[in-house]
Amino acid sequence: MKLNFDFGNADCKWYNGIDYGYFRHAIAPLTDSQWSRVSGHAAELPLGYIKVNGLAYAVGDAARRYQIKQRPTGARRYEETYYGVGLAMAMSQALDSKSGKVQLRATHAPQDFDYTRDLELSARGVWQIQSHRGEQIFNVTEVKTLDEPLGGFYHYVLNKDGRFTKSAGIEEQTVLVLDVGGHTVDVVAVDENYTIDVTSIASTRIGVLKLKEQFESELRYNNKGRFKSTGDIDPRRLETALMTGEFQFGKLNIDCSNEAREAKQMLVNDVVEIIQSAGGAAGYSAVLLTGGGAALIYDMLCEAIPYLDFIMAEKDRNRMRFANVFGAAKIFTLQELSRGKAKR
Amino acid sequence: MKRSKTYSFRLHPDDDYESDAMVVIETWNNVSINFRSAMTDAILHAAGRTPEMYKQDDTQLTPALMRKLFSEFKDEISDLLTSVGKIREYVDVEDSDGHAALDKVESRLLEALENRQAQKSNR
Repeated sequence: MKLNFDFGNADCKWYNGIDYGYFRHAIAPLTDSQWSRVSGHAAELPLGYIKVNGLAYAVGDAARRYQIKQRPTGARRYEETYYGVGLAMAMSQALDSKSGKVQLRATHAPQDFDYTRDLELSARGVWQIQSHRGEQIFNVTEVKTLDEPLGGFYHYVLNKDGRFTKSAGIEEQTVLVLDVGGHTVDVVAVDENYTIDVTSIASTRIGVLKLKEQFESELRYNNKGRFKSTGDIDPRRLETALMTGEFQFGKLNIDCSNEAREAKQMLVNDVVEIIQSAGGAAGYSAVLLTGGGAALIYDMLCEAIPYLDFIMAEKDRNRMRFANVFGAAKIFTLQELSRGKAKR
Repeated sequence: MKRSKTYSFRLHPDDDYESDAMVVIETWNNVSINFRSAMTDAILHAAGRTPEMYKQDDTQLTPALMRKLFSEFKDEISDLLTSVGKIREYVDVEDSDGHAALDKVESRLLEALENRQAQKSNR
């Protein structure tokens, strides 16, 4: 079985070759009594609760109900009891089998490149999982890694069978691939005729997480009365509000277009600076955007640099967060085809 | 002898299949079968007209008629393009070792991945 997995700083995305899904990056270890309360009475475990090799966790939205002491970012996630838990949750959601060997294709930010060995070690091995899907046991026998901006680029130029799609139509252009993630914005330069310059791969520590924090704080401040007794806000509602400029507060729609625009403008300014320092319009004829964050700021980026052509790696804006895992599936399929290993 | 060539705007000589299609069209033209007429007949036939009916119809294919035909056969044309796309996607050429033959761009894309993998193993 093959699983493509992107343990993002904001969301964890998976793709099994047919289906895809994601859950929030939030993991809370549970005590025995907390686990008993969750698992004691129900016939099956609620979504988001999982036991991994005997240890209990709440993951994703379920973890929001517990106090999370620290949410590690970057390479600090690459621990068996952290990355492994996220991976176990992804396997429980993505794989229908009760057991089997798993080949993992994992994407990572370029800044974590030196720590991919840690990523591999934290993923390999046997995972005994108890979740809403029942008991499953998987053995991760192979781990391949891929830089996220490369994933986005491969998604754009390859079809689902891993073959080059001529309709990509950027052979005569120099393209800057820009992956806007939760914690980093990553770039890679692609010269004419799809020649990827791997020496240009780089990360900058800015991202969507800060944007969301800024937006939530402004939204709360400008609506103090309404949010006075509100605890955590559902991240999905915040994300929708960022996209639409309207926050659904019970039956009421709060106009937050100004707050959304201001928060996005900060990220847009940073991204514009990255594009300009990479060479801007003098160096590139197009910017290929990938990652969930890029979908949020696409329109404003087009406005900010009107003389550059911005292309989205995934046509469907709602699926932009999956572009990198889709691309990982495609390029590793091509690699297997070239070595005669792919199933026909 | 004056020869007429009619190429569809979708055909591109750099594409294997499209260049094959162009060879077929040229061959037809060389034996005095006009590709456009053949296609017109095929569309009219699919629209339920008999050869007698379209022989009597001297109107030629006006833009209005073309629009009408395309709107009638929009779904079929869309399905055809999709299925042609699928056929393309599944074409695999193998070398004698059973490895898929890659075109230049695919080799270049793979080279970048393998360079990056090599960088990792050198660290």
